[in-house]
Amino acid sequence: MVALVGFVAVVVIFTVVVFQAFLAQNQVAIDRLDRRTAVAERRYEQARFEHAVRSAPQRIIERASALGLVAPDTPPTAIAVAGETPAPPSVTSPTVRGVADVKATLGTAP
Amino acid sequence: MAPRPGSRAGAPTSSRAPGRIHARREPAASPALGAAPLVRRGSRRHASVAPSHRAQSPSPRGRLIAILVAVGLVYAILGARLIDVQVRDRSYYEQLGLEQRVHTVALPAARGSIFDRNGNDLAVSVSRSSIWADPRVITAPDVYAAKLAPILGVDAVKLADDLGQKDRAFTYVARTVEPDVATKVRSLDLAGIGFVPETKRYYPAGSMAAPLLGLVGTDNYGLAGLEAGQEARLAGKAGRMQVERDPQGRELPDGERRVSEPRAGDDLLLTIDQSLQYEAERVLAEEVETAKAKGGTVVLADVRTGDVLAMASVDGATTGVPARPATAGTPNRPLTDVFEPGSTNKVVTIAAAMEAGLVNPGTTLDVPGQLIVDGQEFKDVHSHGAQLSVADIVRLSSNVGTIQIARMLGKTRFDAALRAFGFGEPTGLAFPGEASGILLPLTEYNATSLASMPIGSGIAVTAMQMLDVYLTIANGGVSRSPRLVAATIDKDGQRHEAPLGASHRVVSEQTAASMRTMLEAVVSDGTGTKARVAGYRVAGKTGTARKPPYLKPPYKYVASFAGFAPADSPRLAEIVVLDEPQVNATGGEIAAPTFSRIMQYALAVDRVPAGG
Repeated sequence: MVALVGFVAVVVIFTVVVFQAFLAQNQVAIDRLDRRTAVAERRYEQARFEHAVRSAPQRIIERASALGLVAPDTPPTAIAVAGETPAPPSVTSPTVRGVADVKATLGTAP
Repeated sequence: MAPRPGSRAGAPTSSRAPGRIHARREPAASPALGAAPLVRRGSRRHASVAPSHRAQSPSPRGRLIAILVAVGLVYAILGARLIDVQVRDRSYYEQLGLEQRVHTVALPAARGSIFDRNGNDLAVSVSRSSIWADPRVITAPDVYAAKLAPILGVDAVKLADDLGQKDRAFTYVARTVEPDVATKVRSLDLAGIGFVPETKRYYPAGSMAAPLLGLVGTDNYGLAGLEAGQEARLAGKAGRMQVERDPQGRELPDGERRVSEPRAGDDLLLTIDQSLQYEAERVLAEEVETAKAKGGTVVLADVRTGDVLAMASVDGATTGVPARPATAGTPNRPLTDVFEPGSTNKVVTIAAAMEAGLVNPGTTLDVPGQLIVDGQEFKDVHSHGAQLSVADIVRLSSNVGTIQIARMLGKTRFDAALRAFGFGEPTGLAFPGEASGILLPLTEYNATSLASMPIGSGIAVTAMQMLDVYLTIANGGVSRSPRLVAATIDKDGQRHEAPLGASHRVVSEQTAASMRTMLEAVVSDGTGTKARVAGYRVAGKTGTARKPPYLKPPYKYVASFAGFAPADSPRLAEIVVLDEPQVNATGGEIAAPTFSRIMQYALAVDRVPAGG
């Protein structure tokens, strides 16, 4: 009887130790993933910022001028053509739909 | 254990006990340990002195009781203290212990971004490092400063002073530095210098729309513009994390850890179009420079929705510095600054008279070249015949004709019209510092009020308020509150549309249509011909108002032009205001061409077909 109790106690202690070890191991893995996520988020932020800077109108004009492009005297004029009339633009900025699509996959990241 | 010299001299209080102990140990003691001779010496001494002390020593029972009492007393004191600590002051010590090992770390919420209507970033927050120092650790502040100052671009003397404050444990060396700067400082590996992550607000397009967007402080709190006005949406809610740490500051593996996650701020999707905003600022800066004006503003809006597509402010040239877009932190003048509108206000007067059924575009009036009201002379700038139709009064911007119509209308109906068009109150944009304009109460009208105000003197409006009038005319007589925010995007990426502004009818569809026709004539054959846009029908009105002091040369003017296109099916409305132009100082000469250039570009961007 005593031997049985001792055996059970040893098994329980061993199980607890193993379980604790697994927990610690998983926590280490989670911490590592957190760090990698944080690094990736910072890289994303930086890349997005650099993209925004590079696509700013002033920067594009400067770059275009450096490449020898010349702005037209007047902007192009839209001319109505025969055919099916497209639906009028949404009252809430049609092109932003893409942003919403992207945002949905980014979660908390803007 | 060797006995102390004093003991060997025969201290009476200890003479008996050692003797008994030694006597008990003696048989077991090994001679090899050298204990036996010592015991024997002691035994001999006890034998000679013990009898004289035995009578004076307390009995063993008494000593035992005394010891028990002493021990009991000590335990009683300890017990009392234990109860004091564990029961009576339990919460206090509990808190003390928690504070020693539990640390609360603030988790700042990510500030929402600001996008233009096409999703281009106008304001973003990016992770950066702030550099801090523990001056108590720094032994040579001058050396530190000499190394850090060139990298950080700060004054070495001041930095050395900061680092030399030995009474402080923390001081910022630099906030939110660029990554390359942080890398350089890290490579110095200076003791007492640390880094903490923070976010920094960036405006990728530089000063574009700066007064509109506003700015944030070092701690990312909105200070001006939309950053301040939309602070509640953008800021989110900070979280916090409680962790247990050891004295070295390391987190305990099995310690308590409570995390209250921060809630990221919402992103703002503006109605502003980055491309139109840039072009509006660029063109306006050129025209302000040409006119040698003190400054200028432009607002461009969508007629159907009231969405503001561009809102630009430009500062005039100063010595050595050309005209340029206004910088962040300066007022967003289309909303905060008021001006006397001049003739652009005639639209309100004429529309009110038509709505009241007093006149129509074909109504002919005898209009003299000048008019004396209460001793004050009002005259027309452009010569004309003795009779003018209402349409001609608008086309030629006749002051006298407009005053005559205003008199027919009467001050009560005129005042009601001004307020119906939105003067005297904010436009509904809820922008920080938005002005209501200056509108004389009806009870304070004087003899000349009904002469000066109908032609745009004696009242003050913001550029946005005046554009609202033209938006209303263009929108068939229905006024709709303008919008700057089209939607918000929450932390989960869900988009929430902002409702369109409230609308109400100001004048009838027929009155609005008549006004559009008359305003088109202003551009096709009136004072605003320089507002024409090739391929499109444009409607609008010029305005030139003298700034106070009115009668003291050199005279200063505000030149403006407000209008919309296409005239028959309006899509876009725009107002241009130039402050104190020195060259071509009239609305028709300087503001109208500016209107034309920007409108032409906007029509192309919005792909409005020509011919309309």
